[in-house]
Formats: sequence, structure tokens, C-alpha cells
Amino acid sequence: MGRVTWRAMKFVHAADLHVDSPLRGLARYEGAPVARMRSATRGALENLVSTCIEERAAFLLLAGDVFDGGWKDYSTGLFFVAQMARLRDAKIPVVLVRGNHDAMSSVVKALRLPDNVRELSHKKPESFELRDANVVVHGQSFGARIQTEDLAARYPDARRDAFNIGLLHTSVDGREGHEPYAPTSLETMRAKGYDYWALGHVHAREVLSQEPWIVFPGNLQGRHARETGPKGATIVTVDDGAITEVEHRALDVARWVSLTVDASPCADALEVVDRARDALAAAQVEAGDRLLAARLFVRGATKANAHIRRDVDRFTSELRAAAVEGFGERVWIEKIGVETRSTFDLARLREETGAVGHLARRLAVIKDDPSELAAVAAVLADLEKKLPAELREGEGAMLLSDPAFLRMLVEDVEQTLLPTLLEGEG
Amino acid sequence: MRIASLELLAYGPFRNLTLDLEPAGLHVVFGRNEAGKSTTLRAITGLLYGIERSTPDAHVHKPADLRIGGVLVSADGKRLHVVRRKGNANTLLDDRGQPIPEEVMTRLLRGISEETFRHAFGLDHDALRRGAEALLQGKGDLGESLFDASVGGGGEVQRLLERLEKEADDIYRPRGHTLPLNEAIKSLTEAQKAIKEKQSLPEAFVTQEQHLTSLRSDLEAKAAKKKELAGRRARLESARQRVPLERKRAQLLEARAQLGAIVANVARLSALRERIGAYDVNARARHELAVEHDLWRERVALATRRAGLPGAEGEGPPRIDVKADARLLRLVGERDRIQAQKKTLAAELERARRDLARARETAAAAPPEDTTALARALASARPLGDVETRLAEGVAKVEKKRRDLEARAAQAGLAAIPLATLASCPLPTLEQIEALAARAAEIEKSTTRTADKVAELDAQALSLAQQIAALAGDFAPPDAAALREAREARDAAWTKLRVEAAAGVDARARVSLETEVERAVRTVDDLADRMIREADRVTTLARLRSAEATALEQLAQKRAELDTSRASRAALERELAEAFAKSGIAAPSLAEARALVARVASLVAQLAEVSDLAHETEQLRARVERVRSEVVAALGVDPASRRSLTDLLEDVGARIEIAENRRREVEQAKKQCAELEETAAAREASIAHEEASLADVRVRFVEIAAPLGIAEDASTEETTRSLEALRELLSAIDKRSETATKAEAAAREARAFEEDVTRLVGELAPDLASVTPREAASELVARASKAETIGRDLEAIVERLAALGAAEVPADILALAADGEAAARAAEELDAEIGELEAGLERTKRDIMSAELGLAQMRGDSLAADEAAKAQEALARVRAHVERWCRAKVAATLLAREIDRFREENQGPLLSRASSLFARLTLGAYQGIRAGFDDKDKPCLLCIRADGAEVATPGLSEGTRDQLYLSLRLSSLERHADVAEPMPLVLDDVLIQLDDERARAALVVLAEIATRTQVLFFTHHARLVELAKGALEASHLHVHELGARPALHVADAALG
Repeated sequence: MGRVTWRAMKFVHAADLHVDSPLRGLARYEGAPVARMRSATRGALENLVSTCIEERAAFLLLAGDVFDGGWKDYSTGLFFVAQMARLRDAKIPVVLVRGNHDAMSSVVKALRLPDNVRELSHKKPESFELRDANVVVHGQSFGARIQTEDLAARYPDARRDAFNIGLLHTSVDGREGHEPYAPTSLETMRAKGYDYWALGHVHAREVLSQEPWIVFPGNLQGRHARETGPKGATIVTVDDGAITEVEHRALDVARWVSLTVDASPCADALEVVDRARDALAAAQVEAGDRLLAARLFVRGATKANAHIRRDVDRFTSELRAAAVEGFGERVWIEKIGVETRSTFDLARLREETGAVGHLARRLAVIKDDPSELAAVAAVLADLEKKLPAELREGEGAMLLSDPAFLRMLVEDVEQTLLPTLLEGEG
Repeated sequence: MRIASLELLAYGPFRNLTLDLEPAGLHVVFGRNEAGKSTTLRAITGLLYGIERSTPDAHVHKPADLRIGGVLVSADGKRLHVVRRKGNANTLLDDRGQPIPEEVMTRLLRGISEETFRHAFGLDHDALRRGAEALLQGKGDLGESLFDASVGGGGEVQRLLERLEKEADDIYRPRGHTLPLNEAIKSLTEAQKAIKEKQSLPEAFVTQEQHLTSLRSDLEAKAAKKKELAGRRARLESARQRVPLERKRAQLLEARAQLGAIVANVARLSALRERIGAYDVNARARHELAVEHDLWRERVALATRRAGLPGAEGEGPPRIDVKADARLLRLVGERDRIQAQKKTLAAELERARRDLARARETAAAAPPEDTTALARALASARPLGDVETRLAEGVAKVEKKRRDLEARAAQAGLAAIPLATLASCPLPTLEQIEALAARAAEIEKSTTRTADKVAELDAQALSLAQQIAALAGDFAPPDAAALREAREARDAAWTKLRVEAAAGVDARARVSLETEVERAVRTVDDLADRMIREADRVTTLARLRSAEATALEQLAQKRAELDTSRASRAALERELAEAFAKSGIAAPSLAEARALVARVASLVAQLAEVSDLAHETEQLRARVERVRSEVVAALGVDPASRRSLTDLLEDVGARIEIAENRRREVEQAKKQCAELEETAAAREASIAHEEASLADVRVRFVEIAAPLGIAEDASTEETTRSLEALRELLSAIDKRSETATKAEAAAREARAFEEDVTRLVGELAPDLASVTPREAASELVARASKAETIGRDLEAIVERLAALGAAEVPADILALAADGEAAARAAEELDAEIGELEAGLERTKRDIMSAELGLAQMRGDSLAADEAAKAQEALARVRAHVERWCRAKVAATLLAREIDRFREENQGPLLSRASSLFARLTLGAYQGIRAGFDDKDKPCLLCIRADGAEVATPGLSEGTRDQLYLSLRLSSLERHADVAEPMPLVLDDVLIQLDDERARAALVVLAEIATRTQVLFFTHHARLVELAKGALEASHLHVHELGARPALHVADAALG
């Protein structure tokens, strides 16, 4: 067998497309860009395919969770097929494994994928050869939603004279906010002697290793306020059988950001709104022509506190209106967290003998007394029973009887009542 | 802590102004508007907590230069002198200007924040009003009231609590439907339901696809089956049609064979059909001709008899020609016309004779009346026109004008004088009155001038008298004797001095003497000076008195002149009265006299006009009377009759017309008589002429008519009938011979036909030899026709068989077709089967379409994903609303709970003190207050009246509510002073609403509180300062007036 000749090539690695899954936490308000947000995951997939074609990628790797298990429209599958067909027309093969979300997806089972798409088996590790590129992709799909075995361990060793890639949906040794599926370790992966590990499952981009390259590209499109920053795919350049560049390319259509506005220098609410607008403008520049979904926190000890607290609703409406006016459909304010504090000395206030001092002292007591907090919880008990299960589960769950939540409420009351009583309602 | 002094070193409009607040008692700071009261209030907060960043008090001094100083004394007696400057850091300075830590001040303030100091230890009129209003709104909720009084919010707490509760309720209520949170939960549930409903499961898609495939193959199978059945059905139909045709063809061929030679000679026999017809017609004609011939023979006999000719059969009647015929008829007509003409003429003659008799009678009747006199009377009346109306109008007009004048005269006050005598009334002339008026004006002018002069002189005299009085006074100018006496005294003194000096007196005596000399000299000098001065005064007095005398003299003269003028005026009035005396009219004033005379002149002029008009009217009346007598005479009526002239003239007209008509009638009758005589003569001549013509006509008629057997006197009708009978007879003879000729020709034709038929029978159908030629001919034609029909039928059958095609029909079908009934049944069955298949095909096509549509929809729609997005949106809304609701709800709940708790802890001491303060502030109108319960069992405030009655807060008057709130605030502050470091209480114009008595009571209460904690009472009402001074002992009151320099104290420290 003579020396293998290598061609320079690029390939694209993406994961966790979750096509057509809803973006979470976006409350509709006047002027909000509803339609654009809803189609964001499809837009990101289109961007991915266009990038493959523009970059003349040798192939595309999809490391699981193309679909979200939870959605039900067949058109979602057909949309994916149509995009894959664009790649077929451009003669770009696609290799994919199923992840925890689409393992059981009946859509995937029912789909007739174009012949350029190869789905790797879920029964045992499969090695798929891309002869033109002299590449072998090793991988195994999830056969069930829950996969607790170390799939990587059973992957074959690298094949000689070929560029070896491991395609795997995994949480590796555990990642916060992600289910511990197909756990494995860097050692296990390194031991296989592959050139590149194309991982999926963890939504935050992460390069676990450069020798060999072990990469989570992150999801293609952020879907809620905790998936902030640029989202997209990894473009890998290979020359003479060695990786020369690993580039992360933002392909998201909507960009989630979390912004904190420091209100401490502001004398009134209008100044706070101005600062928030400046922060949004900066984030908007960074996001380019993407839609910006922003979560705003207004923080700091400020003279504007009493004004803001007096009517938080009005303040948030003003902020939203400022965003609509300044950025139109380019910005969606997902949520505004008002966490401002008063400038006066709370400790001193608690020493006063009058009614306000009494209230300040009592609130301080209530905050740290579980039985007092329980009494507060009793006020909310009736509503809690009526809240939908979705609100009480998962990430960002809202538990009205949770002491931390109750403490937050009492702190909020402290920052609302005391300044109002001291400074008047104006 | 108390403020011992407040130093406004450089603040607002002040520089180096110190308020000494050290002494015990109530400090009243009084500043009128613009005096700087508000600035001073701000200075207190500025000193303790720092000067506001955007202070309005930097308008005189630059912000960096602002300084407030003060001496603060803590409860334990420690004194601290500090100066506050404006800035961001190190703003607290010691008395050397060095920064000192802020903690020093903080310690002194013992934890009282700026906001608390301002709200809890400061009270102004607005806050008081708001607090009292909140007592009313909250219906005196005890906890809220005590809490609010402690916060010093002026009802802040009640409003805040209400707002929070409303905020929570506006977001969510357990049974709300339209509230935002309730609605968001509902939208979420709906969206989740919709996801389930709208999802398109992949399994469903695949099932649908498979279903579609099976539908398509089913469709193909059904189509194939249908095609096969349709083929079989077509073949059966073809067989069913062919069988009877074949059968018919065989029958036809058989029938044609039986016809033999006829078949080949159809063409020859075709002419025979027409000849049979002609033969039949001929036979009928022959029979008819025989009958006709008999008929004509009888008719000739009859006509001969009718024409009245001898019945000789052989010889015909005489032939008459058309000319003779016409001539005979013309003569009869001529005879009739002449006879008629003669009759007409006779009738006309008779009428003319009757008319003539009538006309002659008319012409002979009575002659018409003579109308000359009537015409003359009419002629003289015509120029007058409608004279009676004009006369009546004239009279009325004169009457009206006269009445108008009388009314005007009465208006002018001339009622007493009859109108007729007005013209001759002896009034003064206008010129006389003008002359009097001119004189009166002159007198008036001179009187005014003199009166002015008198007034002037009066004033002058008065002024002089006053000056004289002023100068005169009681003065006694020293006289020369006094001067002399003084000089002698001086000389005596001087001599004594000289003598004593020469004698050598001691120094003391000498000094005494010298003093005496000096005094004497001064006395002389004084007297001389006074004499000079008084001399001037005497001169002036003399001058004034002379002037006064002159003025008085002139005054007397002018007054005399004035009297003269007034007398002249009276004389003039008398003259005027005399001028009017003769007229009998009361003398008017001079001014009115002119108008009166003018008015009388105008009345007189108009009176003359009325007289002229009355005269004209009288003349008209005379003319009318003249004409009327003329008419009466002409008509010959009773002269006493009072009928109007117009009526009389109408009678005249009528009479003239009647006479005229009568004359015209007579003339007409005469003319008619002549004409009628002429007409009668003409008619008689005509009648004679007609009789001659008639005789001639009769002769010519007989010439022609006699040979024809027509009587000489036959009438026109008879002549015509005779001629007709003759013509009929001749015609019947002609017809008879014509019929005989026709019968002969017909018999010849019939014989030729019979011979031809006999020949054909022998040749083509010998079996017919025994029948008549007519029957044989018919049979031959029938046979030919039959042969022809068979030929055509055969051709048609051959053609249809050819159309059915030469295709092979399977034997089984042919066999089936042979049995008609079985074939029909089979065809029906096949049709039913095909129909069912077609319906099935339609159904399957529809199913395919709907399946395809469903698949297309599943491919394109992302309804469930849309709903999922909606659900997420709703969820986000739920989350946001829950947060907001929890915040508001918890805030409201905790605030309400803590208000209660605060009440429980503080109620006792606060209420008892507030109660006694309230009793004092209301001057005993109320005994006090106590805690009670409202109708919802919530603790509330109750006020107890002097008579023991309890009143809830809404029942209090506005002023009393203010006092209740003030009591609560003051008791709350006292309580603070009891348990913690006292702080100065700053009141700003809180008593302005009270009447004097209650304000006084409040000031006494404040002075009492001032013994325990410092009270600074700011006001811009001087009245309150007055009240305080009256109500309080001087040692308990310290008034500081701003903007009034003398009352201000200048800080020594600042000056140093």
C-alpha cells in the first residue's frame, strides 16, 4: 500500500438543531417581532446549509438532536429533508447520529432522507467511509431517549491512512444543565486515536481538547435567555491530513443576550431608560443584522429606585417602548429584572423608633425567619395551586413556596415600601 | 438633640444672620412673604444632612460659598459648633473651617434619616390637610392612622396600601376572568390543547400515504374491470341487433320470388297508377254529365214559362242586345227622376208661400220708441265718470284732515281755542319773540359775568381777612419808652461797674458786676431788634387792610349790578306775559314761546288747505245733482226717487238698447217679403218644364218594351225582372248543348283505358283475366308497389348489417342473443354492474383527492409548532404576571400586617396622649378619643364629644379632623421623645385654618411640648405672632422676625 495522497478540505460540524422547537420565555407585547422569532430555528438551519455550500464543505456532521422530541408537525421533517436536498444538489454528504431528543422521534423514522444523508446505526458503532475525502466517520445513534452507557468506549480504533472522526452525542463527564447521557471521558476518546471528535448535546460551545480536537459546537440557535451569545457551527479546515484551523461560525438568526444596566449614577427613571437603550444599542451592533432577544437587569443603589418601584409596570413598559422606538423589530425584550436598591442606609433606618423603623426591622426579621416566610407563602398558596406545571418544572422553575423566592420577594418589598413611605408617592 | 443657634452665614438671601434658639420655650420664626421663611426651613435640613445638590438657595451666593452654621446640643448636654458647606464630600466643618467626619453628626442625630426628619419631625399645612383627608378616606382605621401619623406621610400609608391592593387585584383574582394573569393561564391551557389537536404525527402521515397508494391501485383495478364489462356489453348489443335483421332479410327474399314477372316490370306499371286515377275521375264525370244534361233540359222549359213566352220548344225567344237593354233601363230611370224632381219643386213652392205670409205679419206690427231724450241725458252724464265714489272720498278726506288738526291743536295745548278762530287769534309775532329772546340772552350774559366777579371778590376778601388775622394775633410791639428805660438801666450798670472797678472791688464782685452789665446790654439789643422786626409786621398789616377795604368796596358795587340785571330779567318776563294775554293762551316760557307761535302758524296753514278741499267737494256735489235731475226727467221716473245716479244711468242704457233692437227687426221682415215672392214664381215655372219632359220619355219607352212583352207603365223593377228572365232562358239553352258534347268525349277515353289493361293482364298476370279491367289494374299496381317496398327493405337491412360490422361475435354471445329475453336480462345485469363500478370509481377519486390534500397540508403546515410557540409566549406572560402579583400581594399583606402590629405595640400610650391633646385643641368640645370598632369589626378611632356622644372620623368637621390629625402627630412625636433622643420639631404654618381661640389653645399646647422637645414654629401670619404673644408668658415665647433687621441677631463668631 503506497502513501496516501491528501486533499485539502473543509468540513462542517453542527449539533442540537432542535428544528421548530419554540423559543422560550418570550412574552408577546406591542411591537414585538413574533413571526421572526418563531422561525428562528429554521432560519439557522438554512444558514448552516448555505454556509456548507459557500465553503464548499466536503461533508456535514450532525451530532444529534436535529429534532426536538416534543414537536409534532410533519412539515418540520419535510423542511429538514428539503435542506438536505440542497446539500445533495451541491454533492455534499451528511453524516448524522441521533441524540436523546430525536432518538425516539417517529418523524425521523418516517422520513425518507435524501441519499446523501447517512444516519449511523443505533445498535452498534458504525464506521462510515467518505471515500472521496479519505475520511472515516465512527459513530452510534441513541436508540432510546435515555442512554447511560459509554458509547464511545465501544467505538473502533482509528483506521490507518484515513482521517478519523468520532461522531457522538454525549454529556462527556457531565455538564451543568444537561442530562448525563452517553457519559464518557477525554481519556476514552483520546485513546481511540481519532483526529477529531464531533460532539453534540451540550448547548454551549466548548473545545475540550486540541490534541486531538474534541469539540462541542453548541446549538445552532439559542432558544432561551440562558443560551446567550453567538450560536452556530464549527468549520474545520484539514490540510495534508492534519487540522489547520477550527473556526466557530455564528449562524443564529436571533441572538440572546443578558444585559445589566447599572442604575446607580442615575437620578431618575428616564436616565435609567437611556442607559438601557445604550446597552441595547451596543448589543445590537454586536449582533449585526440579527434579531436581538434581550434580558435586562436593572441593578444598583440609585436615587431613581423610589420612582421605579412606585410603578414597576410602568417603568418596564417605558423601557419596552424605548426599545420598540429605538430598534423596532430588531430587538425583543424578553424580560426586565428590576433589582434596584435605595440609596438610603437601611441599617440606620432599622434603628429608628417610628413606624418606618418598625417596618424596616420587621422586614429584616421576616427575611431570615422560616416561619415568617411560611406565613408569606400562605398568601401565595392559592395561586400556586393554579399555576401550570410548566412553570413549576425544569430550568428557571418558579416555586412560590421556595424560601429563596420568598426572600427575594420580601427584599423587593423592602426596596419598594420603605422608600415610598420615606419619600412619598410623589 | 436641639439646635441652640442657627447661623445663616451665606445662604439664600442671608448673610451672617443668627437665630438664637437656645432659650427654653416656643420659638416662633415669623417671616412675611419673600422674607426667607422657606429658605430658613431648608437651612435646618441643610445643616443637619447636607445642602441639596440642586438647591434653590444659591441665587445670591455662589454654590461653593454657601455656608450654614449652628450650635447643636445633645441630650446629655454636649455642644457642637459646626458649619455646613455645599459639596460632595467633607461638607461638615468645625468652627475653624476644618472638615470633621460626618459620623459626628450622625451620632448626634441618633439614626434619624433625612427623610424621617423631614416627614416625621416636620409638618406643614399641606401634610396636615392630606393626613386629615386620609383619616376621612380610611374611615379612621386605627392602625393606619397611628402608623401614618408616625410616618408623617399625610395619608401616605393609606394611599400606598390601597394602591398595592388594587395593583394585585388588577393582575389576578381567584375568580377573575378578564384579568391579565387569569387570562394568560387560560391562553396557555388553550395553546396546549391546540398543540394536541393540530399536531400531525408522522405515523399519521405514513398511514395516509399508504392509504393513498391503496386507493390508487383500487382505482386502477376498478377501471380495468369496467373496461372489460363494457366490451362484453358492446358485443352482446351487436349480436342482439344482427339476429332480427338476418331473419327479416330471408322473409323479404321469399316474398319477392312470389311476385314473378312483376318484379322486372315495376317501371312499366308505375304509369298505370296515374291512369287508374284518371279512369276513376272520368267515370265520375260521365255520370255527372248525364245528370246535368237532364237538369238543363228542365231549366229551359221553366225559363220559357217565366219569361212569359209561348212554349214552342223549337223556336228560341228573340235575342236582345245589350244596347236596347241599356236604353230601356235609362228611360225608366229618366222617368222616375223627372217625377221626383217635380215633387220636390212643389214642396219648395209651398214653404215659400208660408214664410211670405209670416214676414208680412211682422212688418205690419207696432213701431219702436223714440230715444233722443234718453241719449242726450246719457251724454251729459258720461264725462263725470264714477262721480259718486269720488264725492264720498272727498267728504271723508276733509273730515279726517279736520280731525287730525284738532288733535294736533289739542296736543299743542290749544284745545281751548276753536280751530276756526285760530287764524284770527292775536298772538305775538315770531319777530317780537326773537327780539325778547335776544334781550334775555344779553341780560343772562351780564348777570353771569357779574356773579363771577362777586365770587372772585368774596374769595379775595376772605383771603385778605385770613392773612390779617394771622399777622394780627396778640402782639405788643415794645415802645420807645421801654427802650429808653432799658438803656438807662444799662448805663447805670456800666457806671456802677466803672465806679466799683475804680474803687477796687474783689474779683468775685467784679465778675458779678460784669455779668450784670452784659445782661443789660443784651436786654437793650433785644428790645431794639424787636422794634425793627415788629415795624415790618405793622407795615404788612397796614397794606393788607387797605387791600381788604378796596376789595369790599368793589364787592358792594358788583352786588348792586347783579340786582339790576335780575330786575331787567323780571321786566322781560312780564312783557312776554302781556304779549300773550290777548290771545287767551297762558304765557309760556320764552324758550317755549317761539315753538308755540311756530306751531300755531303751521296749524293755520293746514286749516286753509282743508277749507279749499271742502270747497272743491261741494262744487262736485252740485254738478252731480244737475245731471241727476236731467236723467230723472228723461227716464220719466219719480223725481223723489233716491236711486243712485249710476243705477239710473244703467236704466237709460237698457231702454235705448230695447228700442234699437225693435227697429232692426222690422227692417229685416220687409226685406224678406220681397225675396220670398221672387222664389215662389221661380218654382212654378220649373214644375211646368218637368211635366213636358215626362211625356216625351214615355213615348220612347213604349217603342222598345212592347216587343219584349213589357207593359207600357211597367215600373223600373218590373222592367229589370223581365229582362233578367229573358237572359236566364237564353243561358239555359246554351248550357244544355255544351253538356251533351262533354259526355261524348268522356266515353271515348274510358274505352281506350280498358283495352290497355286487358292487354297487360294477358302479358303479366293471366290469373286476373276473369276480373274487371278496373280491379285488374288495381291489383297490378298493388303488386308492383309491393315489389318496390321489398327491394327498399332489403337494401336497408343490408346496409345495417354492414354497419354492425363484420366482427366475429363469440358463439356463446350469439347463442345468448338468439334468446331475446335472456339477452335483455343479461344486458341489464351488465349495465347495473358497470353503473356500480362507475360510482365506486368516483368515490375512490374523491378519496384520493382528499388524501392528497391532507398530505399536502401536513407537508406545509406547522400549526402545532406555532401553538407551541404561543404556549411558550403565554407561559412567559404567566411568569411575568405571577412575579408582579406576588410582589404587590406580599407588599400589601406585609404592610397591612405590620400596621396592625405597630398599632398593637403603640396604641396605649399614643392614644391616651392624643386624646388629651385633642380635648385641649378642641377647647373641650371633645373629651378625647378612644379605640373602637367599625361595622366590620376593624379597630378604628372614635372621638368623644363633651356630652359623651361618640363620633367616627367621617362625622367630624374639616377643622376638627385637622386637629385630630395634629393630636395624633404630636402624640407620636412626644412618644419618640420619650423613648429616644428628642429631635427638634419643625412646624410650618400648621395653625392657619384655626380660629383665634383654637389657635391660641394649640400654641399653648406647643409651648408645653417645647418644655420636652425643641419646637420651631414657622409662620408668615402676623396674627399668629400676636396670638402667641397674648397667650404665652414672655419667658415661654421667642419671636424671630425674618427680613426685619432690628429683630435679627448678628453672630459675633461670624463677624470675628
